[in-house]
Amino acid sequence: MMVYYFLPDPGIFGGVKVACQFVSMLLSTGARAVVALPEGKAPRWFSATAPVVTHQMALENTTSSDWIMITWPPDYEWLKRLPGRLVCHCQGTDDRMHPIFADTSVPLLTCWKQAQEYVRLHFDRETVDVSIAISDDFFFDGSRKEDNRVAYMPRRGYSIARDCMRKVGSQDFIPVDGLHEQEAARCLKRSGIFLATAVGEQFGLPALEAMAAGCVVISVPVKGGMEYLHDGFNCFVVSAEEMPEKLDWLTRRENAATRSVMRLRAVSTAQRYRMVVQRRQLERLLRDELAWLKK
Amino acid sequence: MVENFPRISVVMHTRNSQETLERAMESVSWADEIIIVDMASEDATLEIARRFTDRIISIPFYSRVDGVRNRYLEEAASEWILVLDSDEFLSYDAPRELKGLITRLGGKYDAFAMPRYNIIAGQIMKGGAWYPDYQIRLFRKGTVKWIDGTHILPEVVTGPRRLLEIRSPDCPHIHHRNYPSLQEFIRRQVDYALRDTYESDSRHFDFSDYVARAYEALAIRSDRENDGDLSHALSLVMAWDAVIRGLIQWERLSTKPPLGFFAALPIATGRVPWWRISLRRWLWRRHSMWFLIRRLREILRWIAMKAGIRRV
Amino acid sequence: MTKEGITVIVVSKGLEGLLHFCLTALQRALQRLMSGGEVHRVVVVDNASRPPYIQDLYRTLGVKLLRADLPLSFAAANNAAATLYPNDFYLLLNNDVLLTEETLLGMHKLMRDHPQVGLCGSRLIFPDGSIQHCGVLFGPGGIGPYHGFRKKPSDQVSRINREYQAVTGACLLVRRAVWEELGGLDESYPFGLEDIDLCLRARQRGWNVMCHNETESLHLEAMTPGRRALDIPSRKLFMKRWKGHYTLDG
Repeated sequence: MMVYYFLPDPGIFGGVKVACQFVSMLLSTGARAVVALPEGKAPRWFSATAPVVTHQMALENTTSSDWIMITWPPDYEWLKRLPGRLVCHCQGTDDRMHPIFADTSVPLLTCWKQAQEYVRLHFDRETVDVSIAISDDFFFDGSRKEDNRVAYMPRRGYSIARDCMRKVGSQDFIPVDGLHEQEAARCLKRSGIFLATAVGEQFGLPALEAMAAGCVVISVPVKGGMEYLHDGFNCFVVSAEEMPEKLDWLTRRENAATRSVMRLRAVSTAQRYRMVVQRRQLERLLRDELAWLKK
Repeated sequence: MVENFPRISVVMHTRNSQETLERAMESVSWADEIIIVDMASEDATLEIARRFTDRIISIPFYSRVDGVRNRYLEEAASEWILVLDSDEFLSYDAPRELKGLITRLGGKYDAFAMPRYNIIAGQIMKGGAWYPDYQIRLFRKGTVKWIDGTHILPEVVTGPRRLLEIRSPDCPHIHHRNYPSLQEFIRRQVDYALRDTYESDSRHFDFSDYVARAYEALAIRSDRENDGDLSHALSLVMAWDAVIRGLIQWERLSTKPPLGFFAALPIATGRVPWWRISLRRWLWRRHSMWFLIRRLREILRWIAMKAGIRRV
Repeated sequence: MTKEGITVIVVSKGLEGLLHFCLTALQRALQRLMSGGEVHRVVVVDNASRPPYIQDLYRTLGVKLLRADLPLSFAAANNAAATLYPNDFYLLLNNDVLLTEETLLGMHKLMRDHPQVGLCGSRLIFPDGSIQHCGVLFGPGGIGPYHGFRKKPSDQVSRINREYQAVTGACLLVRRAVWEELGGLDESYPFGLEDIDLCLRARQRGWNVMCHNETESLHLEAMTPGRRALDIPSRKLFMKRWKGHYTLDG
């Protein structure tokens, strides 16, 4: 029995990282799993220990006792025709996922509470919560952190970041873009604040990674991320228009204590998403609810 | 005038408690029975105890009192037991309130959890981590069982529905003189950490669990607004206590796994000098086109992917 | 118990800063009083303060702390303290009264020199020097008891020690025999007027009630919040019991 996790692209998309990490987790618990990518080219922007095969190889070798794992909605249509059991690793709850949710023959593995509740509410189905984890690289390790450095990801929501740059002249703005995960982690660990500007994000993994790195996160609202983003406690959640104002307020001299305590709370919250925590949960699931996966 | 019925026995464990025992026993002198379980005290504990009761049981010293609590609950003659530590005391109106509680609710509940004021280094802690600190101490004999370990809540044998947490703050409290000083607190924490038993299976050891606890202590227990500097001092001690425990367990493992790189420190920060900021901004203005070009490239790739590379 | 010792009872809730000043002034006054052999006791009733007063702190001041986790009525609190720490005299003292040495000396002397006096109150002034209390008068109809000369500049009011029907319990010295005869304060009063009630009951048994006027002490009146609301039921009870039974002073 083998798990083939199909992905459309190894590019810089959050879903790719989560998928590969999940496969690595499965491997570490003793299951057999590989990632299937169109040309078999492994992602180069993070350290994935998951072995990679081409789509062609996967299609040729799947048998009825294997598991076909999908996460990207378009894959559902053409992969459901294959032999083997189709399983969905849900990384979002938008409309394109609905056909999959509606198909009760496809078991659903969700990564966060919002997704699980969404499926329960709209499709009257239970999902298995396999949780989500962030790489150990992101956890604060005593690097020299600059209180007045603000990190942002220009790929999504650049205009918001630009507005912040214009309003707050005292801060050192540093883009986190196209870097390897390790460099991104280093950058975040050295930054005091992170702007999560991607509107419409499903979970907001970058924000969680920034929290683990000890940044005060100012984020736009996200769907699934509200389970770890507690406005005013370990981060700030504001609309895109309000972000420059919030940043201005946060970076004032008199709010140094606020920044300090929120960093601690952010790191503390992120501890729940360590890889070892997810591994333990997965081990337990593989003994109980997901025991059929190992057979 | 306190009514006689219902009957309550007080069970108190002592070990070199001369500093605080008198106050403790005075505050329960109204009880129908006081049983002292003394763990080989070497000071004036027994002398003080004898002034208030003749039911004194001497036992050898145990490192953790929770392990022995259950055994001596059997000694109580009354239907209801109140467990109080020798460094705690009750208020003047406690007997009336507690007896009233039993009379009114003793049919529906077997055990009552009372909130506790913790007095550390002469200060009463108000912050969320230290108050209300519910303790299950008043219960029907036979319905509560302690589990061996440090600071684990006892179990209500007849089920959680038979336990009532009485609502603070207008209710009887336990008053607990934790530590007379910060140094005493530190000494005792290290003491507990060294004397505790740890899991010996290195496969289950992960230093990051202790680091997580350390961050939690710092993040949650520090409450400067309510308890000032002392609160932060205590949370620092508890954060380091978590780290120390991790190190102790690590050392005791027969095969040591790598410790891991999680640093258990409060997060200190520096500041980027103004000239660096200015330099970066200047460069950014010149290179902002760069970002736009890369952005364009990303968009084109995305479109290509959406259009779909036709598959088999 | 001993030679004319006093048990001072201060019922207090919160306001630690104020209490500290009150107790410091009191200790100084008691020191002056110690001539030989008396054992004075200071008892503070911690009336459900949040957070509680710290025992050890008050111990170093030589003060006994009686803690109630739930709020007690003024009467119940004083009665509890008096029962636990009996003495020849009881001084009921508010935590917002800063007692001067001369006042305590004067009150004590008055009681010693006149054995028929069962209760002795004292002149209390506001921070602006005007009278807060120098004896309780009784008005007609629904007026009932009120503080005479209230707000008048203290210098303009006579300093003769005078007899009254009642005096305030904010600073009240009571003879033990009176206390025991009357069973302490009446606990059916929720808050207020139990002191006036005590005075009137004492008078019915032949005791005199005086107010010491020669010197004054400072009274920062009613600093504990929430006082006004509780007064009303007490007033109702008092009027029901005593209306028509006291002489009208005008």
